[in-house]
Amino acid sequence: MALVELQNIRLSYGNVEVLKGVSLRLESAEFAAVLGPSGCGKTSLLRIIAGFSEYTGTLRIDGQDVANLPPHRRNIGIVFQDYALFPHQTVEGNIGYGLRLRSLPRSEIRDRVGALLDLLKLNGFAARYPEHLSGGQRQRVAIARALAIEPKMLLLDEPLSALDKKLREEMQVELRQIQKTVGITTLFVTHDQEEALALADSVIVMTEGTIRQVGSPAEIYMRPADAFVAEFIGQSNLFNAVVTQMRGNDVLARLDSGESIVLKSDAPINPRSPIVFSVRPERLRIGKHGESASLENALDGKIQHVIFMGSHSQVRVATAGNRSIKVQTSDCCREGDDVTLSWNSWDTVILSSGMS
Amino acid sequence: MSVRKTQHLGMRAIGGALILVLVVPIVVLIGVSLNSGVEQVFPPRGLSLRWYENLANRSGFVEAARLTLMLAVGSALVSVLVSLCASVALTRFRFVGHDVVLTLLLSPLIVPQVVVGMGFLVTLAGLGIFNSFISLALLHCVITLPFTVRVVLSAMSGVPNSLEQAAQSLGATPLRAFFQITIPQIAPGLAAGGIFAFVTSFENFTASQFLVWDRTTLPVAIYTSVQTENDPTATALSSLIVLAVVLFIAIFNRFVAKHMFSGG
Repeated sequence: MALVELQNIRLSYGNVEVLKGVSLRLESAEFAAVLGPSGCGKTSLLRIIAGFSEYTGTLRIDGQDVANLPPHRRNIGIVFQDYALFPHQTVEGNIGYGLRLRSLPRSEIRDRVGALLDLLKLNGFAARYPEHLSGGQRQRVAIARALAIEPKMLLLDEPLSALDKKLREEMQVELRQIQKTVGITTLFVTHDQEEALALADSVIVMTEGTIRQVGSPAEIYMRPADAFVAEFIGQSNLFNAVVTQMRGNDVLARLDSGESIVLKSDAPINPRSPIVFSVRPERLRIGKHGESASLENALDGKIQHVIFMGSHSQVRVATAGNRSIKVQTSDCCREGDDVTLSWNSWDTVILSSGMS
Repeated sequence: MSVRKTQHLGMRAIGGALILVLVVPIVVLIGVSLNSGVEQVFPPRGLSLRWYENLANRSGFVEAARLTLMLAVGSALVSVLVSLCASVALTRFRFVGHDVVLTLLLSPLIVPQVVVGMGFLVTLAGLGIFNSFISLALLHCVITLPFTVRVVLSAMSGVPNSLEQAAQSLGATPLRAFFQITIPQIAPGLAAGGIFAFVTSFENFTASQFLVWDRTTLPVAIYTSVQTENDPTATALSSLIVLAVVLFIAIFNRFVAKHMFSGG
C-alpha cells in the first residue's frame, strides 16, 4: 500500500496550462477524492499518476520517483469511466488478465478470481461476456480486475457517473466497504460533490489546474478555504462587509448594505479591512418580522419564493441592497411574507480578509 | 385500392426488370460457354464442356490466373498491414499533417483508374522498369489501399484507447496490449478489408492494362482473347470465375460472416 507524493506537477497542452503546479500527499490506505468541475485538470492528474501522461515536477510512489516507469510496470489498478472491459473475454477472463500476464499457476489464478467474485458479489457471472452484464455489474468487474493484481494503489475515474441514481448510492456504500476491506490507497476523481463527501477520507478540491483545499469532508464543508470552495461544495450565501472592530474572537463588521453584524475569527483582522464571508442556507433561521432576533445576527427581508422539497423547503429571501438569500428550513412560510433572518456568529466562515 | 395495387404491380415490374438486367448477361455467358460448336451463340447449339477442357491448353490463361491470384493475395496482405499501421497512427496520435496523410491514403479512390494507370506507366517507363510483376504489385497495393484504410480505420476508431490502457495498467507491455486486446476487436475489420482488397485487385482491369509488358492478368487476358479470337474459351473462363465467386460468398456467409457479426 502506497504513499504517493506529488510535487509541483505541471502539464500543458500547447499554450493551455492544464495543471499549474499541483502538490499533494496521499497516505497509505487513504481514500481520497479529487473533486472539481469538468476541465479542472483532475483527470489529467489521474493519468499522470497512472503513467499515461507527460508532466514536469516530481511524482513519488513509496518514495520511488516513477518518472521513467512505464504504466505496465507501475502496478497501479485503474477503473476507467467506461470500465474498459475486454469485450472478447469473459468476466473470469477479464479479472484474471493481469494474473495470467504474471504467469501465476492456473490454480492460484482460479482461487484469486474466485475470491474477487465473492468480494464483488459476482458469483454466477464468471462465464458471461461484458455485453451481457448490467452497468453495475460491469463496474464491479472493472474493480475486481483492477484489484486482482494486488496493486499498490487504485485509481478511479468518475467511477459512478455512468450509473443511475439508485445504483450509484448502492455502489457508494459498497465501494467504501471494499476499500476498507482491502485497505488500499485509493484516489478517485469526480465532479459530484455528494459522491466525494460520502466516500472519501479526504477531499481535494481543484479548479483551473490548482488545488484549492485539501481536508476531510466535514472540514471542506464547514470551513471552506475560499469563495470557490464555499460555492462549489453545497450552497452558500456570500456577503461583503468591512470590519469595524475586533473584540477577542469576535469581529464586528458592517455589511455593504449597512447592517451591523458579528462574526468569529481565530486570526485577528485589521479594522477597515474588507472581508467576504459565507453562511450556509441550513444555518439561517426564519422568524416573523419584528420578532426580537433569537440569534446574534439579524436581517429583515421578504420571502421571494418557496420550493417544497419534502424533508425541507428551499426559500429565497430578498433583503436590503438587492440581496437574495438562500435559506433551507423545515418551517412553513408563505411567499410575500415579511420575515427576519437570523444566524449565529459561529455559523459564518470568513473566506477572504486582510489578515494582519 | 386499385391505384395502390397498380403501384404495387409497377414496383414489382421494375424490380423484376432490374434483376433480369443483372442476371441475364451471366446466364447468357454461361450458356455460350457450354456451346459444342465454335460460334458464340445463345441458346447454345449442343451442350459440351470442350471449352472448359480447352482452358488447360491455354497456358496464357493459367499463367495469368496464377499472377492474378498472387497479386490479389499479396496486395490484400500488404494493404491490410499498411492500413493497420496507418490507423494506429491516425487514431492514437495527433500530429502535424494528420489530415493530409488521411486524404493522401484515400485519394486513389477519387483519381480515375485510367489516370492512375497512365501515371504508373509513364513513371515506371521513365525509371526503366518494364517488369510487369513489380509494376502490377505496386499498382495493386496503391489501388487496394484506400479500401482497406477505410475499413480498418473505422474498425480502429471503434476501439476506445482505454482498453489498451487498462491492459497496460494490468501489466501488459504496449505491444502485448495491442495484440491481445485491440487486434481481437478489429479482426473482423481486418478480414473485411482484406476481402475487399482481394476482390478489388482480382477484378482490376482499367489501370492494370497499362502495365502488362511481359505478363498479364486474368481480366486483361480475357479482354485480349475476346478481341483476337471468337471461340467460347474466354466465356468458359469467365463462367468459372462466376462459379468461384458464388462458392466464395456461400462459404463466407456460412462460416465467416456468422462469426464476424455475432459479437461473441
